[in-house]
Amino acid sequence: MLDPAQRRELTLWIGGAVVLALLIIAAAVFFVPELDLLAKNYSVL
Amino acid sequence: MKKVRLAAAAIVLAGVGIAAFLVLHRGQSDQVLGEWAAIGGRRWLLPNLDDAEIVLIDRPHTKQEAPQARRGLATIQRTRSYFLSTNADRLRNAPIGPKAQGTWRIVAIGDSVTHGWGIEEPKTWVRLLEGELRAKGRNVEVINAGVPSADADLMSAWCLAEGPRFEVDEVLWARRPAGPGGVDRYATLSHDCAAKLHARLTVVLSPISTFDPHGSAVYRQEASEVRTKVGPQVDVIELTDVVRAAQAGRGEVLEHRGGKAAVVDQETGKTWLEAPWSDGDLDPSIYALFEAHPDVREALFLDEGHPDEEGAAIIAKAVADRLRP
Repeated sequence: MLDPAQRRELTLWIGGAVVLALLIIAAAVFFVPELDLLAKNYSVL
Repeated sequence: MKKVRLAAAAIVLAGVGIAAFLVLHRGQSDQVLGEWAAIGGRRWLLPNLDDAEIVLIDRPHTKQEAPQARRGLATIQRTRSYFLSTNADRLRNAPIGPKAQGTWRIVAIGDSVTHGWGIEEPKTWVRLLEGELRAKGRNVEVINAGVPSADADLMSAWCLAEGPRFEVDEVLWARRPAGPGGVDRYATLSHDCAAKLHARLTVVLSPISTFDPHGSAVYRQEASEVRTKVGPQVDVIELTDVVRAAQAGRGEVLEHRGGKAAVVDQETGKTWLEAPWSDGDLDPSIYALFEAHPDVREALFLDEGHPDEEGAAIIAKAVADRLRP
């Protein structure tokens, strides 16, 4: 069993990693030109 | 805790991996064009699209600006969208069955103007042409084989491979000459297409916007060359002068004035601006003017190359009036 301090550290590490991973994905979706997953429209040319 | 740090690192790495995957596969999940083995692996409309929304710039623009409109970038406010559906034959058309006795079946093979770029299907010039001809009492069906940015080679590839099964009586070769081989190749391909389909050939030259300086300079000469190359037995319908006549006194036009490009409001006579003349992309100040003033608009065109709904109606009427039964 983990003590409260260890549990908090675990939460911080895993939570931070998840947030960082999501930020990286969001950056790719929003800032890479022509990566239009959120644009809800279609490319022709 | 070492395991926890490793797990955290793995999660971040997974995020990087997902982001990399998305970047590498960008544009592949939202395309309306796809390679088609039947026409030699060239790209054509995908089959069975169901109201795919396409966003485009609703004013003259550079080629570089075109992709930006899709994401609603702040620099481009003037956009419009339309919805694209295709049938199982990869055409912007209702399903096409066997031709009924007595039906005059026309196929319009062309580029984005024929496709109806920016326009809902019932208002494309191809569909309006069908209505115009039916109003004249003709039992007619018009097939839309228009694909954005199609060149004569792509039109030919579709015609030769897919065209024969539609039993058409008339080919509208609806594109201005461009691409490799110039007018010679364009004319040869148009004749080869009509011969393969055992159909009559009519050439339709789409209208040139005044905001297309190069097209404006060459369209008459181009039409003359096309007439010479396709021969006297083929009717060539040049639409630029028809559309320009309908623009008279309406909206903005680009005038070549003393070596400069002037944007003129034809309704008031006001000159919005004068900019250096350019044969290619316009001076940036002209695009900025359109962006800043939504009421600045060329009548009958939505950008520097595509007719709007009203322009499409004028094209349909002009073609219907010229097509012999």
